[in-house]
Amino acid sequence: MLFSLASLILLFGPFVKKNTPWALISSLGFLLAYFLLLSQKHGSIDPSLLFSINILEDMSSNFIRHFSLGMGLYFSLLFWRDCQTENAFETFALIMFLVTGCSIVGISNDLVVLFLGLELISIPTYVLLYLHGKKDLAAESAMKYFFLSIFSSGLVLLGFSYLYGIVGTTNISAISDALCNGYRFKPAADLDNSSGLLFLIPMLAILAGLGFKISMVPFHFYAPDVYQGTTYRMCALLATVSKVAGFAAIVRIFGFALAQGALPGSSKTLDNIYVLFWILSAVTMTIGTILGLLQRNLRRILAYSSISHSGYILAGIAVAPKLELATGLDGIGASFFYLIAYFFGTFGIFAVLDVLDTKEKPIEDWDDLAGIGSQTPLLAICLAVFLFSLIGIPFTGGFLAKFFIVFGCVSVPYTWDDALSEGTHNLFFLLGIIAFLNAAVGSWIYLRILSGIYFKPAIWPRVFNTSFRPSYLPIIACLLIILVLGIKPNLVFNLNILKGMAHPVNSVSLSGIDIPKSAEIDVVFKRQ
Amino acid sequence: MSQLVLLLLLVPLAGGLVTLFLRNSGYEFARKLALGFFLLNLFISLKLTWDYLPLLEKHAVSVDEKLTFVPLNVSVTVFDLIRFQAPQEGRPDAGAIRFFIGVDGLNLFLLPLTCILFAGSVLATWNSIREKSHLYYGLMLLLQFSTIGAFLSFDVILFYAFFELTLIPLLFLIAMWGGPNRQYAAKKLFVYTLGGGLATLLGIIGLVSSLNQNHLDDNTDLPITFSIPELITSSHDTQMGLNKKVYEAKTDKDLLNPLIKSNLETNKARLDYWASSQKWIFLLLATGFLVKLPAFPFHTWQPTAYYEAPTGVTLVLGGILAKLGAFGFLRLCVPLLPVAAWELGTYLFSVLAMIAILYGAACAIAQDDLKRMLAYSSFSHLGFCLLGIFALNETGLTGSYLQMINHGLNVGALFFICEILSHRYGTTKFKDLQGLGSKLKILSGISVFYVMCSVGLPGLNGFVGEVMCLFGMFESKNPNITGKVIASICSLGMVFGAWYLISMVMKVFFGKLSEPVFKKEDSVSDLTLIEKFFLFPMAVLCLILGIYPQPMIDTIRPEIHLIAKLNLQANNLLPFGKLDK
Repeated sequence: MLFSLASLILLFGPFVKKNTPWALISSLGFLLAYFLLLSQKHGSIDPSLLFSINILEDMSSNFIRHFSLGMGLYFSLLFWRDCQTENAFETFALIMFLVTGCSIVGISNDLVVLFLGLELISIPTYVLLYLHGKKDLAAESAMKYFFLSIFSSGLVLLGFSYLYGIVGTTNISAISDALCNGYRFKPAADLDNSSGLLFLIPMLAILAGLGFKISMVPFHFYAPDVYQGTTYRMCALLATVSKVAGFAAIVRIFGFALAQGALPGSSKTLDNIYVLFWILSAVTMTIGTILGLLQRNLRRILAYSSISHSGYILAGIAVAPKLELATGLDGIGASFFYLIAYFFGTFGIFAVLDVLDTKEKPIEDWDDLAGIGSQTPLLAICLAVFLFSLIGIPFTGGFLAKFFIVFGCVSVPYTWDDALSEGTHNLFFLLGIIAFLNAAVGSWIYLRILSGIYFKPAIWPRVFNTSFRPSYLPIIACLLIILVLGIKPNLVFNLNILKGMAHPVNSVSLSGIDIPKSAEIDVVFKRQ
Repeated sequence: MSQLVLLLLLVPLAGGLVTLFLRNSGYEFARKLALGFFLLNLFISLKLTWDYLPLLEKHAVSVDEKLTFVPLNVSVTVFDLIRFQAPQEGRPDAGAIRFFIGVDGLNLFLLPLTCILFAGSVLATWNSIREKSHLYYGLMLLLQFSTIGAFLSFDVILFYAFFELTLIPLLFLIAMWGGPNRQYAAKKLFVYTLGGGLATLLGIIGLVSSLNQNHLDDNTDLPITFSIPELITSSHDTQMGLNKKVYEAKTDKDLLNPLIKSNLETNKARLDYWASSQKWIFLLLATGFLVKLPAFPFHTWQPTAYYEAPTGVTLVLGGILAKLGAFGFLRLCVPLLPVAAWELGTYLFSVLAMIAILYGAACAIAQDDLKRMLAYSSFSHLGFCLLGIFALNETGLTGSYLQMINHGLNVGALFFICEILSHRYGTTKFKDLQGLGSKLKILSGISVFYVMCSVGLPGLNGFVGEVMCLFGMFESKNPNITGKVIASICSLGMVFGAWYLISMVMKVFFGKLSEPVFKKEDSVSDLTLIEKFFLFPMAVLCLILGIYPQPMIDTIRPEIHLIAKLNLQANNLLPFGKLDK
């Protein structure tokens, strides 16, 4: 398994004192793990193994595993410069922990394992935040993140234990099964509306806890403050890894409620959870956009931008249960596509800013970027493309991502003479309108950054070390992927992988030994 | 021919990318290279038009048969970009966004117009762009690429993508080379047009997904399609099917049968439902085009952007990019949603057009600056385009198309002249420039000619388009008297047009000479060779189009006829016996 391999590399990491080779070793480690993952056949997990009941291999878990390994590679290249510092091995070891955690979240099929994965992301983040913070603000931001994160973990744990109390198992498939088909473990209880309410409490607690991870309103307050107190490298990490993990966990836990057409009529429990997601999505994207307009500090701007992008991703999740599989559209798939486009755009921006941000001339506000356009034209073009992708300009990944989300929202099927289905249709149409309104208003935020880059005269000359840096590699890769995602996404990955991601319940029997025989993974996430 | 079409798109793209990276070669090389690319593209577009003409008759037959836009078969390039569903038998368009470009009557003449005006824009700014000229010309080429792409697209999403892509070069062009308030103007333009564009995208998505649902039969779904011809067919079939079910002659005996009666009522409800959803979609779709045009409630970005933009860009903005809005109405809104076009068009959009014409003219009268006045005059003249489109008959649609071409030529030339003046004198204010006719004789002569074209002097090109738009509106099949009233009021617009344009000529070119205090080293000269090279052939073109526009009208007739016919049929204005589909 990939995480055992990653952990092995980690284990001997801290004991060797030499500084420089750690980045190289970790990058090679990620590559190796990636090739192992590729060569691994689907369904190769031995069901008799100890943990086999606790993990689940399906489309979304494979996707998350590929994705998190790719992220790991990117981050080890981005943090390459830290090789020189004395904390090098810790940094890279922690990144590996993070990535391992992310893929555990993707693959987990058990509340305990899932929680383990989430904590494996949180704990290294605390340390990294402190190690990489800016001197005066590091402690504040690390503490803030620490306390809030602990709180959210507590909420998640509360929800998990509550769920366990109701259902009597921690296996997610079993829980979903119980939620859909009635109690297997406590047959005395009956499945009526009151049990739906009973489930609502843990589900809300879990959603609140995970909402912190994806910086969803109203759990977003930490993001701008924490981002402001740390380096651009760390911002990139914060804005992407925990978001990917958070969304993977949401899809996993709420999978039964989000699966489209998978469980026709079998469940009334949490049937209307989409309304909650609808509200959260609309509020998140609106608040992120509006507050983003008021900021001057680049890190805060980007923090609010990441909040509003969470809102768009949530829109895909909200619409998922209302779509029909036959149309070839998939809310969850659209959300993951958005997550990918968002990752490459955001990572690219932070990576470029990280290159530009030097000790002599730190970049804090958006007008600190003045003159970049003429001083380092190539980096500026990359930055512009990433910004355009976040705005959603055609021929970049961001456009198609928004298009898929809104296409999903608008094509909620309805019958013309059924008031209820028409109401749902109009509700989601409204969500589409809100999303586009936000996109149009939000473009002003990115335009200001752009105008900083290109339209303001340079304040003072800036000399850049033009020599090669390892972080140029992921920037170039991001640029290419963003463009390919916007023009012909099939080249980068198979869109079919995004279909039918939210079906953990379908074929898993309670024993958990029957691993779903979902269609062959015709993946693949070809990464340059 | 498909290679030619593809080349037309790829030459500016390649040229743009090459020019963008010419960092150290100086402005002279960059402008020559850019002009080379533009002239090459002009040549390609003219060759394309020349090749198209012999195929016209066959094309007309196939358009009439299929009752939808048909890109000329030999001109089509098509491949999949993004596929949602596996392709179906006989329907390669189902479930995929495709790269689908081609030429038909509707975009044919807009292509050479684009090429002419872009080449003209380079000539206009031949001497005034010295800083970062490689970026300027590279962005201009990219702007041409996206404009031509939008004209050529036969896939809604591709159309939208190119339509929206025009914003990026525009943003940089205005914000980096514009006037003193350029950044504000550029960002305002960007946010306005992006917002309008996103509304259009929402309309497109709404249209595609509502046509995915079968309105005639609940049990089956139609394939998702993004191809404009297939969408038109699908929309038309839906409308005609519903119309037939509802309006088909029924005997009194039939109506006594409860089953038939309840069926009829269901179908009526369906028809109403489809009509009302069409209206919403139409409004969304139209928003983006109204912003781009610009038309009345969404025009506030226009004066600032036109004024602040470098004149070469203003020329392209007014001459070509505004036409994208009108083209969007002709290509998407009207043929796709005929019922909504009829209901909203006669009351809402033709009134908007009327307001644009009169309000634009009134604003133009009040301006004290040549460039600003031309911006408002362009706003006013484009109102005629909108007016002609929403007459929804062949006369009006033809007039609107001619107005698009003619206005492009006229306004292009007038902005060119404006750039000549501003380059020589550094100002375009009326109070600084007076009586130039005694000094710049050739310039004055040619300016008066173009002003007359723009005013709509019979025999010159401006006349044909505007008058046909007015005639169209006058004879529109509107049951009430609205069409006639609106047409009568709008004809005042021509009077106002004559007022402000001729008084401009009086001020600037006639009377006592009064030049601004001079700052530049070189003395003011009359037209240079380069300027003559643009202005004189254009004048000949304007004259030809004014005296003998018939060949152009004949060439676009199949498409215009199609749009009008789709409308008449869908709105049930033809008796059922005569329906051929």
